[in-house]
Amino acid sequence: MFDDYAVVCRLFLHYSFLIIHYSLYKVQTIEIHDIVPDPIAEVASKTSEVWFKDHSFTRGKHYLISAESGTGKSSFFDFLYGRRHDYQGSITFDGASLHSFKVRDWNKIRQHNISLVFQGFRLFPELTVWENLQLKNHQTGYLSDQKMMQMLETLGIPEKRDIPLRFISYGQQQRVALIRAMCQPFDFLLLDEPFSHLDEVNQRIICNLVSEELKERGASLMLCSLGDPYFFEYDEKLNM
Amino acid sequence: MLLWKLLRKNIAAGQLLGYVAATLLGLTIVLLSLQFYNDLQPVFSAKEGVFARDYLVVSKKVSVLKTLKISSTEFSKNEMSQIESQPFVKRMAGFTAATFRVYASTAISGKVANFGTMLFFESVPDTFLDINSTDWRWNQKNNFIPIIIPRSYLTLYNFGFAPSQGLPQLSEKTIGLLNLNIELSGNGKDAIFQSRIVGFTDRINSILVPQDFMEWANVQFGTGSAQPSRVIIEPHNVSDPKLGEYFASHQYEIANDKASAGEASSFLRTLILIVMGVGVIITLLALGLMLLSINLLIQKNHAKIENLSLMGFSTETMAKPYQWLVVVLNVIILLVSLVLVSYFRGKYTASFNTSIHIDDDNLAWNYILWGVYIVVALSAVNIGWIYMKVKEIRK
Repeated sequence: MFDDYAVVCRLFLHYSFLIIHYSLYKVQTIEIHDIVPDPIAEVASKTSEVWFKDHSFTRGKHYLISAESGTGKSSFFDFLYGRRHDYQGSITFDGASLHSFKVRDWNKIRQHNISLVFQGFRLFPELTVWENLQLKNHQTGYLSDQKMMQMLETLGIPEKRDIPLRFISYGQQQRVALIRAMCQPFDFLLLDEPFSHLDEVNQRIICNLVSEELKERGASLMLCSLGDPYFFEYDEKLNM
Repeated sequence: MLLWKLLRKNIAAGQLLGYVAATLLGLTIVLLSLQFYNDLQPVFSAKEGVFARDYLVVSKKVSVLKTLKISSTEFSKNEMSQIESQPFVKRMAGFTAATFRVYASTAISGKVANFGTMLFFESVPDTFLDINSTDWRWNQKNNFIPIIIPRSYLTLYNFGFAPSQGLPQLSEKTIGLLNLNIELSGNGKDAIFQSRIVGFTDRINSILVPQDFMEWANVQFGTGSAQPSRVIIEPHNVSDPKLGEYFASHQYEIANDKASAGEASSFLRTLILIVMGVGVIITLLALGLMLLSINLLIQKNHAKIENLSLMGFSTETMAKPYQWLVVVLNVIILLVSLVLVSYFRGKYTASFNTSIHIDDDNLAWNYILWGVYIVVALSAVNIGWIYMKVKEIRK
């Protein structure tokens, strides 16, 4: 009885907080409890450090999730990003279950709290590089034009600024996708096999840039990859 | 802006143009028929004019027997009450005929010495008359009798009698200024009255004086009261077939000019409604076309909308460019349609000018308002539909 009351109070506080201070709201911890994607529930490895386990991810820390193909790493990110909901168990953001989130909540979260670089980038080929970045940045006005330009320069593609995205190489698109992910505030940055098409020099540069941004924002990195090929420092490594 | 640049891809200009053209057509037809109906409203409902309210004047057929006075054309009290009890009769009254002699005379500007004629008077209750003249009053003190004559009499005079006799033609106004001397005689008495023609009627083919004067004069100069030989009837519905059957079976005649005018009026009304219906159907079909076209457009941009929603764009934000597109199109359609309606209204007003007077002030806000209603309704359906379709993609 008192438990229920406490839960109701906490939810109420939580949501009133969400409504009033959405842009200020930060996701501090992501907790997973005994989760597994429905499609691989039968075949998922019992030795996985993600599936069927309780784990909590804290804002500011860096996590590497190493996974073989087909073990469901993209699914994991899809769950955290609210794109898919077909899993058993529960995932919570600061105690609030993701199942209770409405479309509206996800819009806010995707604009303010979680940034994801998809494996397929999901950029818009008919827009220029700059327009692709602007489209995201206009939502919150988080970065100045100057800062965005600086990032393009750092990653070596400033001259591609006004070229339609469909005319640039896959590796260059990968860099654009990464910069776009920076064009918003976030508490957790999710990278799914992010730099597969870049040479080592570029990988180093991009890892530096990301690390700096993370530090500046006090945000977390969650990186899914086949191995550990990149130049980040991790607080924790999990095998999926 | 960027969103628009992204989402406008795959917009089929042809389909939009089709929508604009079809809606424009439909809306213009609807508004024009509304305006037309509105313009004819005074004609439909007024007490004067070509389509005056539907009254019937009924009399018995004149046959040889009646000429020989073996049977009478008068309606007995029994026959009157029988007619009155018919279900199609709303109200009726008999004509009161004068049972005295009437002689009218005048002098037209001294040019022609005296123009005089024997006349007859009849009267019906004022409520059946389509005249609203303040002159239509009689009281015993002021020796003045107002007269109403059928408009056709004036026509007869102006185009038949006057030219052949070298007399001036008279307008309704000038004839109203003409003073007449009326001499009544009978019952061993006579008296002279002043008189003027105060109005014209399309409805009753007789020379009318006020009912109260008639009652008074019949007592003074009359030679016994007579039963009416004509009755005026206001039916509930002039196109009721029972009406014709009843009168035919009793050998009554209908002075059917008004009946046919009533039919013409209701036919015109039906015609306008049908045209309006066609307009509504075209508009609805155009709406259907637009809904399908929007559906197709949103399906074609499926991937983009999905990506945008993964970037955290709300359904409202993504739907907005399409909703604006539709609203802008609808506003353009409305404006063009209003221009077209007022243009065509000018055309028909000009062509009807000779037969029907259309009041220019009647260019109603009405049809503008209706246009706004329709366009708002169309836009609302479109806006809702776009929102729904974009939302579907998110699922």
